[in-house]
Amino acid sequence: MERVIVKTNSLSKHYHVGTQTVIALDGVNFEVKEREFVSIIGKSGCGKSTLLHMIGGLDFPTSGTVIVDGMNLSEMNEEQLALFRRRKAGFIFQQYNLIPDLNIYDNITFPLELDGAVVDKEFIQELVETLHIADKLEMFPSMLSGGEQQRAAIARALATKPAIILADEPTGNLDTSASHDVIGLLKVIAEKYQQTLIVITHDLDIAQMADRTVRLQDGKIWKGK
Amino acid sequence: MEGKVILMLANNNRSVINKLAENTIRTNKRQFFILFLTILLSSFMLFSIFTIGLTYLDLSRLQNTRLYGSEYDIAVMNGFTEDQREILCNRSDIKSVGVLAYCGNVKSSDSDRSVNAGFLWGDKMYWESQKAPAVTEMKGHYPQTRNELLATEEVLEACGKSSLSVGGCLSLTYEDYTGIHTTDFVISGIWKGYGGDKASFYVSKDFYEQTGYDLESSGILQVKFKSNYMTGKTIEKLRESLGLSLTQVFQASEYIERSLTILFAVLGLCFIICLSAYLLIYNILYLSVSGKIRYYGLLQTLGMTKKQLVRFIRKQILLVGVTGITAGIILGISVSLILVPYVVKVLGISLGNTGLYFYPEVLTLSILVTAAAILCGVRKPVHIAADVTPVEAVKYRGNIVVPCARKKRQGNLYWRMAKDQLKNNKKRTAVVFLSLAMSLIVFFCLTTLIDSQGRRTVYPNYWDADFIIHNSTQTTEDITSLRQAIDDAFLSDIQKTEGVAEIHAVKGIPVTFPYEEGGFSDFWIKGCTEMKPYLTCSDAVSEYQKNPEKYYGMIKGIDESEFDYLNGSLGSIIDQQEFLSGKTAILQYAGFEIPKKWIGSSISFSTGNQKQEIKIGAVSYGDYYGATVNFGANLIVSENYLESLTSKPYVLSLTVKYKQSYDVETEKEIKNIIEANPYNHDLLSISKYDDMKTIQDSQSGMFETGTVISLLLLLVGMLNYINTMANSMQNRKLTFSIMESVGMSKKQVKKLLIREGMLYAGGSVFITLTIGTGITWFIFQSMNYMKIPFAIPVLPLLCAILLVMILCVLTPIVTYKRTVRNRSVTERLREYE
Ligand SMILES: Nc1ncnc2c1ncn2[C@@H]1O[C@H](COP(=O)(O)OP(=O)(O)OP(=O)(O)O)[C@@H](O)[C@H]1O
Ligand SMILES: [Mg+2]
Repeated sequence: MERVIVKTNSLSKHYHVGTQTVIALDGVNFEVKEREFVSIIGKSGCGKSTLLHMIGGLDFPTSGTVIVDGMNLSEMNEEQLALFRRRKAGFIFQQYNLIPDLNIYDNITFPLELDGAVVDKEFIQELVETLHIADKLEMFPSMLSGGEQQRAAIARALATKPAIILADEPTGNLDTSASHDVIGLLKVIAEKYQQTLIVITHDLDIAQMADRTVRLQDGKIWKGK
Repeated sequence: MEGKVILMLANNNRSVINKLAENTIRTNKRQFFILFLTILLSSFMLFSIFTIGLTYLDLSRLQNTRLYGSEYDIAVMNGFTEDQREILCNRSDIKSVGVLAYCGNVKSSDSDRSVNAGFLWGDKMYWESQKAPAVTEMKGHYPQTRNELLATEEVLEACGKSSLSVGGCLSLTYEDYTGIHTTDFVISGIWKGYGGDKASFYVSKDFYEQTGYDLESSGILQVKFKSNYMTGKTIEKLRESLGLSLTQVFQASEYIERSLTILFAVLGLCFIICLSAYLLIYNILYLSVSGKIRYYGLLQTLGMTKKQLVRFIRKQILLVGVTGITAGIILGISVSLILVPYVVKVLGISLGNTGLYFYPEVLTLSILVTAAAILCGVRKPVHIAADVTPVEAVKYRGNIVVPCARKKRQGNLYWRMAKDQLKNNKKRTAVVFLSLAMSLIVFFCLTTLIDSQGRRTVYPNYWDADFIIHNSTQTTEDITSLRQAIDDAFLSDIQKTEGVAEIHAVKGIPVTFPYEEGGFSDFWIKGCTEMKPYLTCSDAVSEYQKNPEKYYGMIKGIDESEFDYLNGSLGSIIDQQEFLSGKTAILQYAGFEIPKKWIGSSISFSTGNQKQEIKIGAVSYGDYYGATVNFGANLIVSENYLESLTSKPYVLSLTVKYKQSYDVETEKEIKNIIEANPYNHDLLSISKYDDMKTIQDSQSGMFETGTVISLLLLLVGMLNYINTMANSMQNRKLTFSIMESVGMSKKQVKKLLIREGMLYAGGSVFITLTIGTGITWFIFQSMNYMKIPFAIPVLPLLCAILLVMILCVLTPIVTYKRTVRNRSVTERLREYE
């Protein structure tokens, strides 16, 4: 049996807006094994993005623990979390979130540069060619279409060869065939580099491509029929 | 009917827009606060800098006035005609024409047998208009009757009458054009103030008229222009229009000659200040409008027309602009017209009759410049906002950066990114560099000027000595009056004083020049009688023949290095060997001109018993070796030669150099030694330190306003920087959040920000040290009356640079921390969804 790489323990996240409390996650126990491809589905606002942020070390839980690759994220300080994000996790955001004042190439290699790592140029070339943005590297994010920006963001997430890829609706702006291509590519790369892949999607076809699908409802894992 | 509806709609719209404008300002508090602060700072900066700057100029004019003793731009000396005065009085560009005249000198008083003081007469215009700014206190009145005198404490002390007050009497023996008289005078007034005329008495018109002097041959006309700035051409034309005679001297003051340079320097500074205010406002406006393009696009999608949108943006800016300018001006008024004078008063500095004034022109100018900057600054971003289609607007994310060719990727990531930041935001970088460098440069410039003010304007004395002591026991007629006031014990006391580097004594003895028909002594006595018209020539000659020692002269010895100096000043015409061996002498006299024919000829003199002869090598008209009281000529010879004439020469003057110029302790020590000397009343001291103090006194207030301006500018520059950085951080929030989301740690963000700050600081400091040094050098030289070497006050400049560097590095970090405010990355990212 493969190792569990992501494990959450009664993970909760509450947001306080004025006097109101929004419960985005409510005692989630969730596990992903190494090299597994998991898709997360659920209604809008059910807490998918929040869960992914917790796993990616982008936010602190209100209670409960997140353990990724043997590290307890809830016990780490900001410095360590930044390091974790840089080295272990590749995050693809719902909004592509490219850095506006860097060109596409610099955006893609930015996490590597932060680490002072040597850029594997061949690998980057392979990535951008597969993602069809090889001719956009010199451009700045504001000059790219939504889909191109999304693909650049994917390239950035993969550039560091992270142990775990977290994608929040990575195909939201792509047509069906392009979406399938991108997910297919993610899958191929994940297999090739033995990465774990967690994808949030609205597209049931894409969810089907995963090894396993998890459904969230009102901040809880849905354990229906 | 339809028209009416549209009209109604339009009206409605306006109120909707008003409401919307107010609401947007309320909800975008931070953005608008930055804009408000920018406008406030700009108008504040313009107002206070111009106000203080104008005051500074007024004060520096006042200092000049005090230094010269009265307010004038041009002096016509050695007499003037009534016609010339008429011409000047009739000119419309002249404010005042005053008359000043020398009319005799005091030789002794009933309390002091050797007095050196002059009599001066000034007309009403001179005394009441031109002299007034240099007078700080006046008791009594200007002399009205023949026996009245106006005095200073200094001149009374010189007469040994320091206890006298207004109404007191004293008897003076004085010499005028008609002879030597002894008269009783009444002190009609005592004044305190500035100027070189403090060793003089002012007399009444009646007194002047009976002294035998006349304005045509010895009066001085002092002219003050209405304007403070005059071109050299105007001055030259004025000179020509007067048709001056050969003996008349036309002299423009240093200040008026440099007035245009000063004016251009001031205008240049004004321009830089206005430009930086403009850039600042433009930049912030541009950023704050384009930062809300998405919002404006949304308003357009919701049905707002372009016209309405433009009006809407204008409305917002107008609201912020009007409040910003008002607040800035109020702040400026309270700081420069209330706070600064208050501080100055608390520090106990008298600004004389020039305080900080309210200049309406400055108010108008500040409002105009700020308003113009807002109007220009708002045009472009408004068009961007209005021309952008709603769809584009929604996609709009900050300024579109034009990609540049990919450069070689090398060097540290942080440095590279920091450099890109500066390069990609050229306008912002320019504003930061300009405002920081400008503040630093003005600080640099003013501290350099203030620091050197004393030295630049102190007259260098002989050999740049720190202290000179003259033996003035001598009287004019009595050859035996000279005493050894500076004896060996005194010399060794001075020598032993801590802080004294070297001393140098000039020694000499009285000599007589026996009468020789047609010889040097004959020429000499005839020359003297010409200056004293009350003596007839034949009387004087027969008197001389009888008592040549009544017309005695001095022989003074100098060493080799002094000879080199003196010979150099004469154009090196004397052979050193001949001088040192005692074959030639330099004839020194500050009175009439000595014809060339005497140079090269031998003259005879006697020292008590021996008769000697020596060749005259050159004539020097300087008075380096003490004021000459003797009638006869001074012969400057080599030290060795002097010693061959007498075993015990008198020390005539002593030059002291300190290890450290202007050393207070040494100065005090030396004054104590002089005080203990039994001849202390007949020792005349000249102290470089006192001269410098006098100048510093005369510029009271200038130092302080200068410091206030430079500190204010430094502050404004730093506030500009903080403001610009706060704004830029506002615009880069998203970028930092994204960077952090892909694994940049806070430490790394700080590393980047520190480098950016260092680049800003480095750039500004670089500009300051290059262009700033140039500007400072230029201004320094244009005011370098005494030709002192250019020196930079290193410590204050280093402090200012350090301050700016710390600020540059800290500001981005602090503003970054403030925008983050403990929120997680996702929270910050969500702001942009
Ligand atoms: N910073 C926040 N402050 C307040 N409420 C928040 C915050 N972040 C998330 N929420 C709330 O938490 C809930 C879960 O949000 P989340 O973004 O995880 O939903 P989602 O499942 O990703 O939805 P979608 O499919 O639309 O992206 C939502 O109700 C949202 O309003
Ligand atoms: Mg989501």
